[in-house]
Amino acid sequence: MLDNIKLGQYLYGDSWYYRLDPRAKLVMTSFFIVIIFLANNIITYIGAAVFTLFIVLTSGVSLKFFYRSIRPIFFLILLTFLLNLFFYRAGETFPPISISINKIIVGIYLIIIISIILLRLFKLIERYISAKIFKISTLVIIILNIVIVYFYKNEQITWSFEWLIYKNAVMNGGFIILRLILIISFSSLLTFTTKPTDLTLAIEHVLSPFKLIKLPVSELALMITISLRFIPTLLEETQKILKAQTSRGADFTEGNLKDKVIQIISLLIPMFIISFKRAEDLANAMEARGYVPGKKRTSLRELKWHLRDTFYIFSFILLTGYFIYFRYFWT
Amino acid sequence: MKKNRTVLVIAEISILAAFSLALDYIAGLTTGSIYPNGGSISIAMVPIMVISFRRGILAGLTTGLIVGIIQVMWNGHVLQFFQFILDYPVPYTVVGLASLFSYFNKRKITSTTLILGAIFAGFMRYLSHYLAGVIFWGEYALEEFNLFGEVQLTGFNIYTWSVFYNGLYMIPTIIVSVVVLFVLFKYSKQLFVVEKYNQGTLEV
Repeated sequence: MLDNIKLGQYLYGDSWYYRLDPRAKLVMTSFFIVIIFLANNIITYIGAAVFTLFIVLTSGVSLKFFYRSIRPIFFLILLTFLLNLFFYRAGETFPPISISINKIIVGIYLIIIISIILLRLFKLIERYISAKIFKISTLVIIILNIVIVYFYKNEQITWSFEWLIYKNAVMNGGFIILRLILIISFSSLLTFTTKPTDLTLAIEHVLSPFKLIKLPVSELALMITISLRFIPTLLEETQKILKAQTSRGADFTEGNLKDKVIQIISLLIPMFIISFKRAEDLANAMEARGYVPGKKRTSLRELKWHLRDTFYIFSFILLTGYFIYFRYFWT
Repeated sequence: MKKNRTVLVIAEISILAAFSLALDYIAGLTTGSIYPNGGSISIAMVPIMVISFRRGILAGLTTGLIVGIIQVMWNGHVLQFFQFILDYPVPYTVVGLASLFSYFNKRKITSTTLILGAIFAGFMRYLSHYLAGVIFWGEYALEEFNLFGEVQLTGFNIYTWSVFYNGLYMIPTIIVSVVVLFVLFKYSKQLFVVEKYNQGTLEV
């Protein structure tokens, strides 16, 4: 179950983007998420898209990884676009699209969907089979509807209406989708190309002004680093205890809710005890090596600022100028 | 000898944050990520609540913050600035408020303060995800319409939608976490209180 674990999104590789200072990457990614909201017309969006595309293509990360990070929120993107199409009513429209729906077909479709839900509820079919049935039946129903409506149009069993699509709605929806994709690409690129430990160092540096108001920034960074280090260890321990409890007869896949809770508890209690034991060992080791919270500490890894990082930041300043010019001063 | 072992508290916070993330990872493997926006039913809140009872609210909040930050590093879906803040660092941080009610009872943990606190913490997390949803949909669905004057918006209410959408995974998560925490408390109280020689709270 836990073999070949891959934690996080970091992908091994090498390119100019990998070699950038994590501080520059972190700050500029956040900056991009803020300034993208300056874009409001087609020229600014094209500029933003070209800029992002250039960085994405030269970063040495395969495009399929970007697709993978956009896929989970594809539904969200589609919904915002459809909401725009349906609810936006202002300005010019495209020629109306007339839509006819046969009521009998709709009835059949509803019966299919209800039976799929019932079959799933009583666990008579697997999830992937129901998904397949749903997809195929939807496609068949749509084609069937088009064919039937084309050849046989009875007023009584057919709904007919005209759908108006507004030009601004399509444009707005397109802009929203583009903006979401750009933001997700940029933020994924950061986690694809930066190790979590480097990112933690960058966070420590970026938050260091808060040290002035006595916020324990370096302690927080230390805790994040320790946490990152111990996640694989704890996963391994979890696996061991899962196996140990299975050998004693615990079944983690079957059972009702009460059984499940008891199984989870039988996993949690040893894990908590192991965690606290490890914490005590770690604290002893840290104290033995002279760690005192709140004192200045040297780091094994030091970040170095290069000229390329300055250039990278400069490119974002240019992009901001471009946005501001074409938003406010261009007609 | 009474000594405040801050280093031990720091170590416990880090390792329980790691434990919480490991639990979340395993939950992701078994249930799969059904919901976008990183929502899945997992008991990742339990370790944060335990440390909140064990080492005080500040330690609980710190553990939550660390879990939130590492969640972003792993698989953060950033769509908008405030949505990002309210979907990642804040919801996990507020889970650390679980021991709030035990403070009214001189930090004595009873079943009542435990359950009340855990439910409260769970609902604070729900509230944060809810606000993130409202902000996201407000930004992307409503304001865009207002840019061009005349707007008719019917049949879609972002507040109801956000309650429903986030409740879909938050309500089961809260129920499971509270039940697990309560059974854990009944079976082994020693996890929630510290032995005399190890006492300490977070004072950096």
